Amino acid sequence: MSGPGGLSALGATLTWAKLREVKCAELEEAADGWGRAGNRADAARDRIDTQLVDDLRRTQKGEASRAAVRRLRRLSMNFQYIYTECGLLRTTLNSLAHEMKAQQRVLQRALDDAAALKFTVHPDGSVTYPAAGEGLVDGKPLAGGRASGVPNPGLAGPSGLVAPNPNAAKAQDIADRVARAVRTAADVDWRYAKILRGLKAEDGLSVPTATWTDAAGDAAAVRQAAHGYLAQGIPHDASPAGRKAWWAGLTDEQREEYLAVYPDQIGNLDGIPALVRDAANRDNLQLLMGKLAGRDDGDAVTKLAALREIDRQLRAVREPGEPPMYLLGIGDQGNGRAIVSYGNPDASRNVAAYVPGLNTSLDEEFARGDLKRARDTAAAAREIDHSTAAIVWLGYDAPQSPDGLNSLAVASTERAETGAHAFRGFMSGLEASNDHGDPHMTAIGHSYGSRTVGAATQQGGGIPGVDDIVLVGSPGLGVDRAEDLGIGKDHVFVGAADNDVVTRLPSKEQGLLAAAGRALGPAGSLAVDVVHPGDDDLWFGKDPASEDFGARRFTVDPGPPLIGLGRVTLDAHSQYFNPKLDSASADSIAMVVAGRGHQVKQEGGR
Amino acid sequence: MTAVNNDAEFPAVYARTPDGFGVRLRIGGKGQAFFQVDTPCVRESAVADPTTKATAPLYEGEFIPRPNIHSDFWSAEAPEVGVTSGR
Repeated sequence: MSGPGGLSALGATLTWAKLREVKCAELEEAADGWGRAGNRADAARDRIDTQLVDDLRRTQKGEASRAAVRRLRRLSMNFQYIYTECGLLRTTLNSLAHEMKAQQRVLQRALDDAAALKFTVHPDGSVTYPAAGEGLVDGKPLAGGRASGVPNPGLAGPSGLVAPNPNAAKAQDIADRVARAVRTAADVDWRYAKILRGLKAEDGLSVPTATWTDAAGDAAAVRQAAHGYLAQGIPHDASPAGRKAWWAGLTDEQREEYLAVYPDQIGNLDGIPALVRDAANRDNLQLLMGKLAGRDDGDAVTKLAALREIDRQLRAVREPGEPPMYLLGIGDQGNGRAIVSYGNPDASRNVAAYVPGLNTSLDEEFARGDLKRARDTAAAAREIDHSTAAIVWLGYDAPQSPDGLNSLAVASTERAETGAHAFRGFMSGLEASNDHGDPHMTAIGHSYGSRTVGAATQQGGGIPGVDDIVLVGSPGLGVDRAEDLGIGKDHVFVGAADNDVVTRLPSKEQGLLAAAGRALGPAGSLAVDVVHPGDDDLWFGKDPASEDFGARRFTVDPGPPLIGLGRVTLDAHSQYFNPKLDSASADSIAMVVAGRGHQVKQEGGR
Repeated sequence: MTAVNNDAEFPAVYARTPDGFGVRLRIGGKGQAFFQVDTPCVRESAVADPTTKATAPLYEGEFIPRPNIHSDFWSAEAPEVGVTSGR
């Protein structure tokens, strides 16, 4: 897209007179125009995605309707791209006007000072001043003169032969300020002309990946340029409630600009309403996919596959009764970030967040498996209470163990502590943005994620807003007693499959581990030789499924044995949420999530 | 029988054979019953939509209503313990 080139000729020949006449209001009007165009594109995209495609898919079958859906998808992508680029153009123009106005103010103050002193500012920026002061010899006023401005006064040191006319220094100062304003404005003009020239689309109707890669670059350039104009306003240091209030206090125009230029920041800001985060992250998802498609390293390929799968799910047509998806966070930093909610977490009375653990990162397995856990949990909880949302929260770098459980042995608690801090921020944001006075909130930790949840309960005043905690497949959580989690031990629920080796690491049941050790010794994939003679002690403290821990233990299928059918399987560690493989466990988790934990079928500790 | 929850409001039974065939019956909110049967499928496959015309209202949208039709024969006159009448 090409921007208006009105200012591009300014750079070479800019004078203070021209700078004074630049009509910034016109730039802002142009920006508003791009904003309106972008909004229309956004509305059109929305109409295609939520009405036309859905209706077509529901009512029509066959090749013709599939072809029509493909065409509509392409049209939708076109509108999405138009929306993104219009938003960038709008903010570029507003930011340009913002910076130009600043220089106009500097210039105007210098001109006002000159007028007050009765100095004359010449078209070339030099300043003449009248006679003043007293001569040392004859006492007559010293002759007037003319000062030329230096854009960079620091470089031109005083000569030591400065005329003693007191007006000379003042005139020099005014001339310098004029020169600086003109020079800075010329720089601004040059910078923005370059950005605007870059905001151009390829010819043709298709929006190939390369175009999104280009759009990601555009967004980065505009973000950098607009830093002073927009980014400083984002209240990163405020509380979630403060951020919610900040967003509520913005005008529609301001919100649109933040969403267009900083979807990455708004989308991941705890305290911002879920619908806003979702809209921002869906836009940022396209930019992130474009950015990663421009790289060909393994990390980018892995994350891109995950993002594409998430994008596919976001666009899929939902069956009646299925909870809708909200993208509450997305990012490519570290091992990748993704937060997906099934059900609107602001509108729901019950909100649960599941923290995944060992070996979780933003890859295709996460995008399929971990998202499904949240979706299944939401669906089962909604059988009990419609007003429920379940979230999968990958907001931290979970430990990775390419060599099986060996790495768990050396996994420190550092990532849990760091993750716990981020998780508390997220839950605090959910609490602030929820429409209900006191929503029922549940934290679910699986595997190392339970260690992260455990750490979060020990920081500050515990996990904000959380009423119930569910721990499944836990290697221990760094806390010895359920009551130490700070929510009452009757609100702590534990699921531990008999054959889940992670929940036995290294417990007193050494038989299983010893057997595993014998079977796997040569392969060396399991660190089973680390068994120490502790009683209920797991890696990270007391076994939460033990009697002594004092939590409510719910019934869980034992799962397939570690060594069965001639192969080693850790599947018993991964079916707690699965409504097909262990519906009793999945239903128990769902009942806690729906606020009916006291009605969960309990069994004794082990 | 792998698990039974004899809660008055949300009773549920779960059964499974050693080779993975499973049945689950659970009563959810407002007396809605949920019945699920699992077979150890080799491959995931989508279930095709029925080809016959529906004889009851089809529901769209996020929330399928709880039982909300009264039958003089089937519907209980008084709400049972812990269950809210859908009338």
